[in-house]
Amino acid sequence: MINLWRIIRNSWRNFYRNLWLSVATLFMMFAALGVIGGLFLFDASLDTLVSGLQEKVDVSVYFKQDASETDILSVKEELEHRVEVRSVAYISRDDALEAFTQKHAGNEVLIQSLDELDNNPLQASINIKVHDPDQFAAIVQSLEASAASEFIDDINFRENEKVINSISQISDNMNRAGLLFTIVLTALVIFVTFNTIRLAIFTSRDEIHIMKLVGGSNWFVRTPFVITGALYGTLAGLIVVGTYFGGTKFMNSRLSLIFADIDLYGYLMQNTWTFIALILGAGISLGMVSSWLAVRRYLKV
Amino acid sequence: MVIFEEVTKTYPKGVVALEDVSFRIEPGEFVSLVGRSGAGKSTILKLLLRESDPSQGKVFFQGIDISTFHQSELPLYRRKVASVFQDFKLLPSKNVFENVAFAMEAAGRATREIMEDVPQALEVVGLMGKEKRFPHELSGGEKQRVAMARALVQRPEVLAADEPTGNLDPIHTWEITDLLLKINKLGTAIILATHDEAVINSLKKRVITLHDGRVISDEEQGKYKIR
Repeated sequence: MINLWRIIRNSWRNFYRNLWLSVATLFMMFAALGVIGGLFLFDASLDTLVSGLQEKVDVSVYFKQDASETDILSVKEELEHRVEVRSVAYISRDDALEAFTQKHAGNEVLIQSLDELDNNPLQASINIKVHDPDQFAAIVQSLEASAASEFIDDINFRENEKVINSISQISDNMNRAGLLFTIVLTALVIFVTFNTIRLAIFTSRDEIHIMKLVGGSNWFVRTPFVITGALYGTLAGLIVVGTYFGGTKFMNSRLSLIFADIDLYGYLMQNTWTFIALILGAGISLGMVSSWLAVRRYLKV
Repeated sequence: MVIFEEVTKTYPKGVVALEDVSFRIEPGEFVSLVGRSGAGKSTILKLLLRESDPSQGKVFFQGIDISTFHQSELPLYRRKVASVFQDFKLLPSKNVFENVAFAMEAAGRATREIMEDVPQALEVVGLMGKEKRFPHELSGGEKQRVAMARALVQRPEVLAADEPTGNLDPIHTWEITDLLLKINKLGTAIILATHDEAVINSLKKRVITLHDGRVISDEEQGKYKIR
């Protein structure tokens, strides 16, 4: 117990008596953890972007004029039971007409020609959205093969197939690039932090040598450095967390003009604890592990 | 208590630092190791502190071959064999009091003991009132006295002093020599490596003379005789 208290006191002294070195190390840690925080937001934005893109992809099934509503609803119900389907929306002929007139309210000619007709020329349709655009082909195939195909007039999948496939490819690529980016930057952050701390401890190598010569055990010599490392991580982490909350709140109104879907501040507020745990966890463990490894090579006396 | 048995130390590239060196030192003895730079004095002390291992031969402390000590046993051993150095080896970021207290803290001694022993040791070496100074605020002689206080609080069986007066002017040299005698009187064996002729001749203690890594003489009440 006495030793633990002494070790903590020694750690604190390490920190403030080498204040400039501490500040420099802190700054590097701040930059490193800042990158990790940035990656966290980057990955979230990428997710929003990709799922936003995927959400825009849908397939409409148009039914013949004489298809009864019960038939259409049974198709809809069947589709709703499939796991890969996210949502199915039924648009009746009346709905379609209303939407059409609203959309073309300014176009007199079109509205007038519509009025000339005795009955509603528009078709009932259902609109299908899936979790992953790759799944459309199978759904469309099974629809075409089913009994319902007899009152299906058209499925707009074939026309859109190319677009759908390329969107699905783009989102896959974005996810892959995002992952690669995250891995490379994280590796870089670990490397930079480790070397910064190694430099900070390099200046203490004589000190470590002396401590060993006057009979300090490895544990007694090493632990203050490890705790100082944890201290760097905690302080840098807290500053990064504060900066991100403040920064995103400040930027929020400006950014939302460009990326309507991306609300970084809202995302941070939703994931407050995950974010804090990630940054502080990364900071403390990076600080401790780097210090532990860096001291090791000077302990062999 | 300390026995060197046919110890040879060769460094890489075939540099021979010690060759077939044997001697023994009894508890409470005061022994000077004398020789030119490179004669092997420092190597003997390094081997004694187990900063390095002999290439051949053995070093015993209280009957135990010190090369058999495990890493985890070394701290305890080094509290029994304390050391002071020509370059003092003080911790620059710790003040006088902390530098001395550190050795006791490392040994896990109680705070109460530290608060008693450190001022006592500083009293012995004459540094009372300078507890809060940092090493860079002290003279060479004062630094060496801090180092000796640090060695004292460990209550060592042996104090290995490697050229402790090498960086000091004559007045401080005498102060440190007196201190060594004082510590010796308290029962600690002293091994003093030096090439200071005046110090050796005034001590009138046992002298082991080294030349090119070999022991060329070992005399009670020896004199400095390197020319």
